[in-house]
Amino acid sequence: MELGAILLLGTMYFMLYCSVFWLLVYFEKRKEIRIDPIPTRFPLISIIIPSWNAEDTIKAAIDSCLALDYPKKEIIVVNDGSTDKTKEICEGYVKKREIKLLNKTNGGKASAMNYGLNHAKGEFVCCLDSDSFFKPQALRKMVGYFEDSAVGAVTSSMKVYNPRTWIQMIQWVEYIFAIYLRRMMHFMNCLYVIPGPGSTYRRDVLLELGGFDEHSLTEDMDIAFKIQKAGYRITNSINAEVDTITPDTLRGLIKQRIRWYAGFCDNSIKYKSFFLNPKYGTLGLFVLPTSFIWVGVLFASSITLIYNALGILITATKAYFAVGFDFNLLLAKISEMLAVGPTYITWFAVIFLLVSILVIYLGLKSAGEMVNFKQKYKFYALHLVGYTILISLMWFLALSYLAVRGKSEKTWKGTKI
Amino acid sequence: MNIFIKTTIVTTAIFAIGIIVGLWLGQEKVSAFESELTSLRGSIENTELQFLFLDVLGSNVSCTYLLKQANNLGADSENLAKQIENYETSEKIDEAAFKQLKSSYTTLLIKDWLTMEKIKTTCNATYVTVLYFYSNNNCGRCSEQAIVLSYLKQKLGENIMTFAIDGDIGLNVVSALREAYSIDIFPTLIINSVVHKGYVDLNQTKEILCDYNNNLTIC
Repeated sequence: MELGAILLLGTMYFMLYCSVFWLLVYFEKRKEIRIDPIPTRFPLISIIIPSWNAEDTIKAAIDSCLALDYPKKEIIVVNDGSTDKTKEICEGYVKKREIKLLNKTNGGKASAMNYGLNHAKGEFVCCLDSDSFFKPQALRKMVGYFEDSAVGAVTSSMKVYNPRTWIQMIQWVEYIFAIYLRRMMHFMNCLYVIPGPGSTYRRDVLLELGGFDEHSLTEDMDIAFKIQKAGYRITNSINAEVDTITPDTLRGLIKQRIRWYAGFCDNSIKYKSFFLNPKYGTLGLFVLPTSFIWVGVLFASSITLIYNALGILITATKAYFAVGFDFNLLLAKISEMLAVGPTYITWFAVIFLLVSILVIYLGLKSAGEMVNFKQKYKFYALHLVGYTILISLMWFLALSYLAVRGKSEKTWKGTKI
Repeated sequence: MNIFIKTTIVTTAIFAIGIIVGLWLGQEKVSAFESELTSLRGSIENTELQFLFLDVLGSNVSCTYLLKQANNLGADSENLAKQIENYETSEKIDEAAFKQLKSSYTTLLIKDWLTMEKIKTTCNATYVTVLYFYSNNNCGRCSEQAIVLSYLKQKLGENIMTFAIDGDIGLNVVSALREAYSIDIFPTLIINSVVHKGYVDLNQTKEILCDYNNNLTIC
C-alpha cells in the first residue's frame, strides 16, 4: 500500500475515533444531559459586564441581567474607557440604583474583569460580555453546581443571537455543536475554556489564582487552565442559556479567530505540562493532544479540497483551450467519472456524513433547538460546505500572526472587549 | 468498561468494515474488468482468425464483415480504456491487482491495434489509427492530448481508432514499441504508423487526419 493511502487511512481512523468517543459519551450520559443539580441555596452573585464602546448592546445586556430570575444579584458594569455613549447609558441605570458603574481607563477585557472582581461582593462572580444577553433562568441553572466545593467555574450554553449574514449562520451551527461538545467535555471533566458570555466563577478561587491574566490573548482559556491546574473542576450547564452577538463579517470573524487560535497556541505553550500528563485525565491525555492533530487534519482536508478543486479547474481550463467548450464532452467525462462507482473512500465519506448529521442532530437536541431544525436548513448547508475551509483559513492566519508577531508584542492593545 | 477501550473497539469495527468493503469493491471492480478483458480478448482472437482466413486462405469472409467487427472491437476497447483510466485515478486499497490488470489490458490493446492496422491495409479501410503514448509521471501536456483525442473520437466515431498506452508501464512489448518508434518524450502519437512527438493540438491533429481522409466531417 502506498504512503498516501496509509496516511489517508490513519487520518480516517483518527477522525472516526474522536467522533465515536464523543458519541459514546453522549449515549452513556444521555439521561443526564439536560439535568442540572437543584440548588438548595441562592447566594449573592456579582455579574460583571466589562464594556468598551458598547453603546449598541449594553442596554440589552443590562436588561437581560435585570430580568434574571435570581433572588440575590449585583450588576457591575465596568466602563473600560469607552469613547461612545456607553457611560451615559449606564448612568441611567445607576440613577435607578439598578447597577453599579465603575469607570476606568482602557486596559482590555481582563483588566476590566479584574477591576470589577475587586469591587464584587458576591460569593460567585459571573462575567457577561457586553454583547451578550442572559435568558432568565441562566443563573438558577448554574448555581447548583457550586454546591460541590470542587467546582471552580460553571460555563453557560451560548447561542448566536439573531443570525443574519452567512458568516453568522455558519457560526450558529458551530455554536450548537459547541453546546453539545462542551456538555460532553463537562462529563469527562476536560473543559479548557470558560467563555466570556455568562460563565460563573467561585470568587475565592479567582482571587486565589490572582484573577485574569491581563497579558493573555485569551484570558478565558488562561483562567480555565489555571483552575484545572489548581485542582478545581470546570462544569457546564446546558440549560444556562446566553445569546451572544457574533461577528457578522468575514473580516470580523478573522480578527476574532486569529485572537482565539493564537491564544490557544500561547496557552498550550504556557501550560505544556498538561500535555500527555495523566494527572489531567482526559484533558491531558486526549483532548489537548488531539486538538493539535485536528488542526493538522483540518489543514490537510482543506489543502486536499483546494487541490482537487484546482485540479478540476485546471483540467477544465486546459480542455477549454484545447478544444473549446463542448457540452457533450463534459457530459461524457462526468459519466465516465461516475461509472468508476464506489470505493472505500465512499464508505468513509458516507460514515462521516452520517456522523456529521448525527452530531448536528444531537447538538440541536441537546441545545433544545429541534424546533428550528427545518427552518435553518440553509445554515447547515453553509456549515457543511464552508466551515472546514473557513476554519483552516483562520488557523493559517493565526499561525502566520504568531510567526510574525515575534516576542515584542504579546497582546493586542485596545482590543474591543 | 473504560470509554477509551469501548471507543477503540467500535472505531476498529467501523474501520475494519470500511477496509473490507474497500477490498471487496476493488476486487469486484477488477473482476468486472477482467471479465470484460476476457471478452475483448476473445473478440480480438476471433477477428484475427477471420482475418487470417481472408488473408491466407482467401475464404469468403468479407471485408465489410471484418470492418464491422473491427469497429465493434475499437468501441469496446475504448470503453474499457476509459473505465480503467478513471479507476486508475480513484482511491484503491489493492494496487497490485490493478497493476496486473493494466498490464494484461495494455498487451491486449497493442494486439488490437496491430489487428486494426492489418485489417485496414488488407481491406483498404479509411479509418485512422492513433496509438497514443502517455505517462502519468512526467508529462506536462498529456491531459490536453487526451482531451483532444476524446473530442475527435466523439466527433468522428468509427472513423478514428485510438489506443492509449502508458509508456511507463514497464512491459516488454511497450519497450519494444518505444524503441521501434524512438519514443523518448510524452505525449507521442503514432497516427497511421507515422510518429508525431510532443503535444499535437486540435488543429494540427485535424490537418493530419484530413490528409488521410478528406471526407471526415471535421475537414
